[in-house]
Amino acid sequence: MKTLTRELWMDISQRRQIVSIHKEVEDLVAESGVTDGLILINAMHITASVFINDNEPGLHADYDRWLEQLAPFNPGGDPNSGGYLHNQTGEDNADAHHKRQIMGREVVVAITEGQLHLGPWEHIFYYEFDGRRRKRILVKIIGE
Amino acid sequence: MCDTMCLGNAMHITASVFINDNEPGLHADYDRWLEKLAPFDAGDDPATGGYLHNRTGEDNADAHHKRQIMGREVVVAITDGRLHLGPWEHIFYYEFDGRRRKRILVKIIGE
Repeated sequence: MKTLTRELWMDISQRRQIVSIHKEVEDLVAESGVTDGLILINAMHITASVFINDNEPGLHADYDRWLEQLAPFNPGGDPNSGGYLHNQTGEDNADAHHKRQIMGREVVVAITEGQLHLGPWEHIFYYEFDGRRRKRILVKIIGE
Repeated sequence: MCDTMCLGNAMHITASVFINDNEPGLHADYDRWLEKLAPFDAGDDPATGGYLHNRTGEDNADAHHKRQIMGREVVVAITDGRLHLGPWEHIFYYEFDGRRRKRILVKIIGE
């Protein structure tokens, strides 16, 4: 069995941003020489997501507004009116832990005939929810 | 099994396996947040949020919704024979409809 393991460093200069990692992932599949297998791509940090969806900026802005509505960055300090207990530890990123659960931690994609085996509009993204520092994505490829 | 992947999934559709912070305040936040997004008792009227699923005699429609938000499974890389995790990644089981025996499946493939 062939394997390839790689950590990709991300350094997002703002708190939240969606970044395509599709090309980097395709390049790693080619480098691995795996023709038939699986690729795992996951955020190594618990305030970020790797997800697959449409490469359309309007949708990305929609996600951002929707996530902010579901898990606001600043719902105030009172837990009785939506404030986060987690932020009482001195953190300010409880919203990011919530947003990441909705968007997911990882994707697992099939590799067939040496290529990512994706549907017509599937595109691989990293979603940063608590940026302005260096964070990692793990890529693991196994197969023949 | 020094270089492969590990799948951990809930085998029941009202529970989750997820990875996040091992911090009790965050866990309480999740619980309150999920209860707001998919309340246990949303009343009987589907026009005002009541669950059609609970008309089958179940009382766990909320649990099916909560599990969708938190996810079914995680897949973790194994490198050099160890879970290849980031600094704060911690693996949890989240029960949304307990008080009975349920299962988690763990599958590790490789040589």
